Amino acid sequence: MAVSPRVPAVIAIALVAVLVQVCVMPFLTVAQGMPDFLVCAVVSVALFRGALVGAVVGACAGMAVELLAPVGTLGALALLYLAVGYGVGRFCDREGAQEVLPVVLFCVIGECVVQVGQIAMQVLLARPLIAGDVVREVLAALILTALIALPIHVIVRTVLRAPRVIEPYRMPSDG
Amino acid sequence: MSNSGQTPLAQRRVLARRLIIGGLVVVCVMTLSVFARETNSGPLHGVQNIAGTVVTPLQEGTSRAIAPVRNAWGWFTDLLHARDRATQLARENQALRTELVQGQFGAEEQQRLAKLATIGSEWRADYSQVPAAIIGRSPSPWYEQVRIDKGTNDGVIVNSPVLGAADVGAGLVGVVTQSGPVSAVVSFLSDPRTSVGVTIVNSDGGIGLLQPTAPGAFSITGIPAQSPIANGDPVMTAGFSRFGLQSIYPRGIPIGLITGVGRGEVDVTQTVQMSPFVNPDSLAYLVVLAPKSVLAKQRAMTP
Repeated sequence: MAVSPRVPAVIAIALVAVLVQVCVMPFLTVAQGMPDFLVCAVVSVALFRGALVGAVVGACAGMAVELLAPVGTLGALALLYLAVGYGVGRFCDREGAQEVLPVVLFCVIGECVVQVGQIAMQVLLARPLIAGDVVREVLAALILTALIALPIHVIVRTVLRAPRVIEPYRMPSDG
Repeated sequence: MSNSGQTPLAQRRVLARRLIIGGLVVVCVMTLSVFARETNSGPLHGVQNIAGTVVTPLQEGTSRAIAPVRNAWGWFTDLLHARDRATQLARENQALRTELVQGQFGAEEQQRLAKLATIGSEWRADYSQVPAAIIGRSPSPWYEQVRIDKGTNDGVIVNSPVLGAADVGAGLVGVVTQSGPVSAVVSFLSDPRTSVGVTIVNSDGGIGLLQPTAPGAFSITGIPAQSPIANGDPVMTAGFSRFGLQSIYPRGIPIGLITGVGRGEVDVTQTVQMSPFVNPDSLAYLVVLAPKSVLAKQRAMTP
């Protein structure tokens, strides 16, 4: 079976996003919040390649982050990024959705999902949280993620160099 | 959603997509469940440890490469805070900070390293003090763990106590919870899974259990009500837990200061609030007490 020439590009984007998220982002914090490079990459890939690729990239990249970084869970981030990739991909399968909602909003919504999921995980694990700190950290993370969303989207679009594929209903090969 | 209007190929693709995504969800949930249930020596923790070891050189290099950016970023955020607190002094601050930035970072690092070198001399017999740089932090603020650039090759094993230094003092900040050949994961005391048997100076030998209650705040439970405790009393590791069991921490490591005491008239114990000497969020270096003697190694083997 022939491998699409853009598969290596998607893998490269995911790898770079994971490394940046693990090695660089934790050191760039404002008000204890940090930008989420990975969610922007997953959203952009999902926008261009659809729900399936977005979900697979989200799951694999989330799992990689949990393996490489000192995170107290394994599988939680993978599940959250999978949900983001799939959700954005599914939403963008609709005709005209990409024009209505800008990329930044997708990234902010995706980051909301990740943050809420992680807070829920903390609550489930009975870890102490202070409401004020939680609000400040989440707001900071959302703002920082919104700031880096567009540049990352432009980079991903350049690397993939393709119009987005609406799957699976409108594949040209379906005739 | 109806699939009646789709071609067979499209239907097959829909089915394949659902199967793949469903499979991924199942894998994630199972991994999450198994990882949460197993101990630190379990197979998934082992895989995580190996992956961390593989990426350690990259993290070290990245950490060094982005150090100037990090310092500039820290300076920038400090500046924002200063402007919030004292806008009327902004111009003066600007000039002072420009001057400070040139020399402050180097001096501060030297000061912290000097403090780290002097603390803990009473444990020299049982422990080797291994200085370590923090090369990886959690990409999420919700997890109280970091990765350091020392591992079993340097004598750093699981349950090795970890010390840190800050402006207000130096003391215990956490414990090694995973260790590979060239790197290790340190869980800070603020991780809710961590608890420490402690004693309070001037309390007639009162022993209690220190646990985090919120980020940056701790409580000590089990101190007898008659123990005289006052705000400002230092808190040290007890060397054993509340039930007389051996602790992984040697006796006498400073942890923090008492900030509040609460007891009812009918209570037999009192609950005490403590503020730690060291805020781990601000640290770039740590010192690991690597067990050297048989006694220290036995402590580290404590379940």
